[in-house]
Parts: sequence; structure tokens; C-alpha cells
Amino acid sequence: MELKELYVTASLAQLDLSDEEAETLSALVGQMVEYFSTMREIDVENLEPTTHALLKTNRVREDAVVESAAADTLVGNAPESEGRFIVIPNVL
Amino acid sequence: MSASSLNRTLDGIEYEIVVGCEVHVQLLTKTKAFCACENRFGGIPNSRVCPVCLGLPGALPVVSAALVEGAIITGLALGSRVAEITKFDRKNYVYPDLPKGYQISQYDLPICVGGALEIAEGARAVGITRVHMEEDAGKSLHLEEAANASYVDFNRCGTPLLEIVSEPDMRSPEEAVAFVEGIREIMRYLEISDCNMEEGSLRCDANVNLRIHEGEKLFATPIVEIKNMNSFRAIRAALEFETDRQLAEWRSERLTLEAVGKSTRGFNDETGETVLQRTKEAASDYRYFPEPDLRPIEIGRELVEKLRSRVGELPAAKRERLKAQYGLSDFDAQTLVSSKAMSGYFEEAASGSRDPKKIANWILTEVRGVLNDRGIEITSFASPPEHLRELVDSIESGIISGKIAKDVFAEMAASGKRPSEIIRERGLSQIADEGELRRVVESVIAANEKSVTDYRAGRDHALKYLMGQVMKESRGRANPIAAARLLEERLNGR
Repeated sequence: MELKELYVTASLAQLDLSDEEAETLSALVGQMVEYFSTMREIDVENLEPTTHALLKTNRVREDAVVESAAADTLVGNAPESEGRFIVIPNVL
Repeated sequence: MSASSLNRTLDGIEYEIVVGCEVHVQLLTKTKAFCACENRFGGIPNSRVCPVCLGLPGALPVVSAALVEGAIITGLALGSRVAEITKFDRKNYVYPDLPKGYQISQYDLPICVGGALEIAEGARAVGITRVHMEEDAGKSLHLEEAANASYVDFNRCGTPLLEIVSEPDMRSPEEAVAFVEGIREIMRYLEISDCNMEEGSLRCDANVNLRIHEGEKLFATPIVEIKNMNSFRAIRAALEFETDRQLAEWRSERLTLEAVGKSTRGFNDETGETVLQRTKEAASDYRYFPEPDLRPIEIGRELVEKLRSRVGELPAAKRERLKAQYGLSDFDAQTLVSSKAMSGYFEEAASGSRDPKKIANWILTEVRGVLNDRGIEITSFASPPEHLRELVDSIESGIISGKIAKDVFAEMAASGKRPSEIIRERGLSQIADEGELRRVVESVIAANEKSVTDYRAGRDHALKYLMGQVMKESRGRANPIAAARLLEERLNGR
């Protein structure tokens, strides 16, 4: 994989790569991309395209409220909270 | 309408405004899109959250049937094709109010495709590109006094949304406003969304650029997506500002869409200006891919037909019919049709009534007054439509006066009792019997000697006073026309 493309992908994944890491990863990611090009060679001429690995469809849920008992615990697990808000570094 | 008639000219530049809208509406489902947390505005921060909407590892989403049905109903109302198979995709981006790091949305197989919305402004049909399902993000709050921190509330996270995308078919800011108003009317009427712009249950982004005509040549200015328009006034103001800005930019720099591409600008409500947020180079790359945690949805035609019957007659058609069938004014028809339940109440009350227009007046003034006072919907109103019809008929047939009817109505609305029952119990029916009226007139004359003298001395206003006394003495029940005639006859010595 080209280094430039790797850096774009890394920044989308919020990864900060050092030059060395980029160098190593470039080869490894290149190999992964390679697998896909191998898969692309398979003849799919007479196959219906699928949208999902599981062929079953239509698992829906009735529109009924179930109160989450975990809300307090979940907020409590945040590294920092104030009142009921979760506090994070300023993002503006 | 020919294209050329839409062109405007400013300082020798002939141009045409091209607008397309993306409207987001929050659904009035009981639960969030992919978990059973309650879907409601506001409340104590982070009180309606669970492992699914917080995106904790291992938590699996399950779509709410109400979201799928709401999307299908919306599509049917807009004349869209409902997909036979639809699926969810992940839209990846990083922001603190999006705990999973992606939004569950729909990419290449949206639930509804195509359609159109007729708008009165410019008398045109605005094409619908697609309607798709997705989830809302949480909210982050920034306080001036806490410059180093942001505060996150995930209550909104996972709220079901429909995104309705229009074709670039609008040719003025007014048409764009009319389009969004039209969407709001349908969504409210079908009870899909309350479309409250202040609370953010209806949000709109607009794509706008200009087509510049220079003789035979046609140029397109760079497309700008405007965000953060939080009212109808803001939509209009933002589009007007952007038109002027693009015209000025064209005049000075002659930048075209081909050369520059698309950028995003935010509308600032205070300054009335749009501000550059990002250019094409910095455009987001969302890396959409199919959501592996949710199965595709196959939509049977049976379900579509069942939901089609729930759509029924749409507001625009109903408005016209109510005007023609019951002789209602534009305003009355418009107000009644603002909700399906309200127009249903009216039609039930009006059917078999001698004066449907009066029924409409009662609903729009008295009934609405009670609903507003108590903050309730017509569906929770104590009196069924036939009671209102009976009340209005009682006035028409002279059983009670309009004034007494208001008292009867107040009790109906409080107790849910039939008007006839209230009239009988409280002895409110009008006195039209001459003998009884005469007795009232005699007692008023006997008790108000001075006024009688005044009247006979030619002071006409005394008559009004005496008449008031007659109504008071009869507790408002005297038939006013008969009583006035008897009073005058008696005073004039006949």
C-alpha cells in the first residue's frame, strides 16, 4: 500500500503513526489488500449479489420501552463526570 | 412554467437559483432505533442510555418495527417506491457524541426511492431522491466558563431519524421553505414526527448554487451545503445570503463548480451570514460499509398495502375537499388539517350536522382553547364529536342561546357529559314560552322604575339596560328576540 494512502487511512482511524510504524504497516496492509485482489479474481458471473453474510432477514423488535437499569453504572464508569454529564476534553 | 421565467437579473447578471434539501425528522416512536431505551426529548442527561446506544463492546442492535413502518408510511405519502429489500450501513466518523465511532445509516439500498412533493409556492412538484433510516447522535455542550471541557449527553443517541433527500428542484428560498413546510405538514399529519425545529425534531440542510446565463453560455457556481438552519426564517435568510454571496463571488472571481467543487458552510443566526466550514479537499470520507450486526430487511407487499391504508387522504387533498364539501375558509381548512385526529374529529362532528361551518368554529376556538389550556391532544378530549354536534344543533334549534352554550360546553369538556343531559339537569333550556317571559318582564319593570321612566322620557339606552336585567333575571335563558319584543310592547304601553 502506498504510504500516502496509509496515512489517510490511519488518520481516519485516529491513529498517529511514526515513520517506522508506517513503513512496517505499509507492507502488512499491502498483503491484506492483496488478498482482496485475489478474491476479486473469482468468477461470480452467475451468482446473485448478497448484501449480508447471514441470509436470514427481518429481525425486528416491538416498539416497547425497557428501562435500562444500567444507566447509572454506565455514567459512573466514565473517567470524569459532572452531575449527569460525561466530561471530556473540549472539542470545539 | 418555462425555465427562463425563473431567471432573475442583478447588475446585468442573469441567474437562476438551484436548491436541494436534506431534511432530517426524528420519529415519534416509543423507543430508540436499535435499542429499547425510551425515545423522548430532553430529561436528565444520560438517563436513557444502555450498552447498545452507548456502543459498548458486544452489544447488538435490533431495529424497531416502528422505525421501519414509519419510513414506509413516509415513502408512500411521498409517492416513493418502497424497496423490496433494504439494509443498514455504517457511516464512520469520529466525534465524542457518537460513541460507536459510526452512525448506523443506509447507503446504497435505502428503504424508499423516488417520489415527489407538491408545493404551493411556484406551483411545482419537488422530486424526492430517497428516504432512508438512521440514528441520531448524542449532544455535546460547551460552556464558556469551562473552556477546557465539553459535556456529553447520550440521551438523544440512537433516536430514530428519517433523512428525506430532495432533487435540486427548488428555484428560490421561498420554494425551499415551502418544501420543508410541506414535509412538516405530512409528517405531523401522519403522526410520524412532531417536527419541532426548536427541539431539533426537524432539521434541514440545503445545497445551493447558481446557474449563470451569459448569452448562450451557462455556468454553474460551486455548490454550497448550508448547515445549522434552525427555523423557517433561518432557511430563507441563509439562502438569500448565500445567493448574494455566490453572485458577488461570481462577479469577482468567476469560480465554477467544475473548478472548485462543493464546500460546506454554517449559517450564523445572529449575523445572518454563512461561514465556511470545510472545502472539498477536507470533505469527509465516511468509509461506508454494510452493518454486519443488522440483517437486511425484506419488505413484503402485504405490509406495504396494510401501511398504505394508514396513509389515506393526504393533507393537501383533504384541505381542498373540506373547503368544497363544508364551505370552510382556507384558514379553517388549513388549521383543521394540521392534524389527522383534529380533522377526523371535525368530520365526525360535521356529518349529519345542519351547520358544519359552525362546528368548525367551535372546534377552532372553544375546543382548541381547552386543548391548549390543558396541554392535551384532541384524542384525549372528554367530549366525543357527536356531543359537539348536539351542542351546536341545540343552539341552531333555539333550545339554548350561544352564551349558555359556552357554559354547557365548559361542563361537557370537564365531565364528558352529553349536552342534553347538562341542559336538563341544570334547567338551562331557553324560555320561549310567552307566559313565562311576560312574568320575567313584569318583575324587571317593577324593580327598575327609574329606567322605565328614563325610557319613556326618550332615553333609548335604558331599554338596553332593562333587556340586560331580563337576561339576568332569567339566568340567560330568555329567548332574546321574544323577550325584547315583549319588553318593548310592555314599555310602549301596548
